[in-house]
Amino acid sequence: MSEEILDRQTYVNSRSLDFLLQELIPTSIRVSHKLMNSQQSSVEEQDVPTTIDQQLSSIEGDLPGTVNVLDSSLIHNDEVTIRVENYGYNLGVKIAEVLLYRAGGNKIVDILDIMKFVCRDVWKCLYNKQMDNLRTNHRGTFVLVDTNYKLISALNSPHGMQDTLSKAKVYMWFPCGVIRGILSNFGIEANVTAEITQFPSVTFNIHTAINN
Amino acid sequence: MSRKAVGDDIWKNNVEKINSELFTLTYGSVVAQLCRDFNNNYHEVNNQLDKMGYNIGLRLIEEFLAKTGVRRCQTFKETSEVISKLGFKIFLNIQPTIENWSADGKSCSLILPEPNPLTEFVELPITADDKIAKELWYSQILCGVLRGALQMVQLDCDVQFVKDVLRGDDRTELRLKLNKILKDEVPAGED
Amino acid sequence: MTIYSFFIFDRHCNCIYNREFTQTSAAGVNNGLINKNNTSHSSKLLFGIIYSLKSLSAKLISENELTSFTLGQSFRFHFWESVTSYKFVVVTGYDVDDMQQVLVRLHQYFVDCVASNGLTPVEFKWSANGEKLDNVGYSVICNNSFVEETDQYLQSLSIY
Repeated sequence: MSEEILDRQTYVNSRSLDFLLQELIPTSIRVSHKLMNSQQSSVEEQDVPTTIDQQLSSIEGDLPGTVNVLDSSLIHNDEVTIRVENYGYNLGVKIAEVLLYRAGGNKIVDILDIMKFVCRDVWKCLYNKQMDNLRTNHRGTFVLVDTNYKLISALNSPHGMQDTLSKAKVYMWFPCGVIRGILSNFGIEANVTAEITQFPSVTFNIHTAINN
Repeated sequence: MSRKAVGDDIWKNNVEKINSELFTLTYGSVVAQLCRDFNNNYHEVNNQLDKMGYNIGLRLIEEFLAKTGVRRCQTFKETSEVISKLGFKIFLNIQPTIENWSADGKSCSLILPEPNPLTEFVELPITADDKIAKELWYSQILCGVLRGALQMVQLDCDVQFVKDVLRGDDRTELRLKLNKILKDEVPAGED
Repeated sequence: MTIYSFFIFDRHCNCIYNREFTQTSAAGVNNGLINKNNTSHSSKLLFGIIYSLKSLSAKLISENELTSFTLGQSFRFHFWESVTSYKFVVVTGYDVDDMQQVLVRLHQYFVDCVASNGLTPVEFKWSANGEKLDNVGYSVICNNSFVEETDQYLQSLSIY
C-alpha cells in the first residue's frame, strides 16, 4: 500500500461492524452444520436469494429473524469455536500492519510494548476505548481486562443470565483470535483465552513462551 | 432540509465512527474463509453472504428508522432515495447514484461508488480457473441487507448484482426491483 | 394520572409484549404482570379495535394518523406504529394527553434491547405455508434488559 493511501482515513458507522460481527456466530454454526452434514445437504448450483419464510439451514427453527440457530448444540462444538476464532485470527494478522503504521510514534521493542499496543491502539480502533487493565507476571503471561466489553454488552437472552453467559462465551472467541493474530504478526506464538468475569467485564488470558 | 443534508448531518453529528479498514478487513476475512470452507463453491458463498445480510437487514432497519425518523415513503422512487441518501450514507458513508429507472417506476439500478468500505484494496485472486470472476459476488451481503430491510417495511423486492468492478466490469451495479407491496396482515378471524 | 399497561404488537398481529402495572406503593420490577395477557381475549380485542380505528381514520381523513382514543371516561389508549408495523400501545388514565414522545422513546428501547441484541429474535412467530407456528420460548419479548429499562423509564415519568 502506498503511504498516500494509508494517510487518507475513511470511516464507517461502528454499528455496521457490530452487525457484521454479531452475524459471525450464527454463520459459523450454519457453515459448520452444513460441512458436517455434507452427505445430506445438496451442493449449491445457483444463487438462491434469502426470503423471510425459508429456513437458512436445516437446523431446527432457523428462520430469518430468529435466534434458534444459537440453541443448536453445535454452538459449543470445537468446529464452531475454531471457526469463530479463525475469523478473528485472520483479521488480527491483517489489522496489525495497518494499525502499526498509523500508531506511528511509539516504538515497539519488547513484548510489553506489543501488549500495550493491543490495549491502546488496537482496542481504540476496534471499540473506541482502551483496555481497562493490563497485568503481567513478567514470565510470558498477560492478563487484559475490559470492564465493559462492547461485543457482548448488548447480549441479553430471554432465557436468563446463564444462557446469556453461555452464548456470550462463544462470541469471545473472536477477540481471542484477533489478539492471537496480532501477536503472530510480531512473530509471537500465544495461547489466548477469555473469561467473562462479571458481565460485561471480560478478561483475556494470554500465555506466551517469552520471558519478560 | 433535503434528504442529502439530513443524511450528512446525521453522519456528522449522530454516528459513532470506526476506521473503515477494520470493516473492510473483517468482511474480507469472512469472504475468504467462506471460500475456503466451501472449497470455492462460489454459489454457496454468495448464499451464505446473502443470509448474513438478510438477518442484518431485519435488525438494521429498526436502528435506521429510529435514527432518521423517516416515515413511510409514498413511491418507490422515494424509497430508493432514502436508501441511497440516508441508508448508505449513515451506515457506510457512501452515496450510491440511482439510474436506469424502468418505465413502470418499479425497478432501478444503484451504482456503488468505488472504492467503498467493502471492497477497498480488494482484488480477486487470479487463478487458472476463472470461476471466481464469473460466479462470486463479493459484496453479496448488501443484497441480503437491502432485501431484509425492505421486507420489514412491507416491500417485497429483488436485489441483485449485475456488475462488479472486482469482476472486471466498468462499475458496480445493483439492480433493485419492487415485486409487490405486502398487505397488512389481518388478525385471524377477520375478513 | 396513571399508566395502566403497555403492549407491543408485531406485524403478524401477535402481542409480543404485555406489561400490566398494578398501583402499589413500591415501584419495582415485580410491580404487576409481565407477558401474562398476550394471548388473552382482551389483547386480541385491543388489537382489533386499533386495527379498525386505523383503517377508519385513514379512510375519513387520509393524512390522519391514529394517536390516541378513549373508551368511556376511565381510560385513554395511546398508539404509535413504526414503519416496520410494530404497534406500541400504552393505556393510561383519561387525563393523560400526549404520549407520542414516550412511545417513540419506548421504540428506542426496543431497538437497543431487542433489535440490536443478538440473542433475542425479531421474528416471534412466523407463517409457513399459511400456518402460524409457535416459536417456543421466543414468542414474546422477555429478556430482562428490555423489561427493566422500559419499567424504569415508564416509572420515572411524572404521570406514572
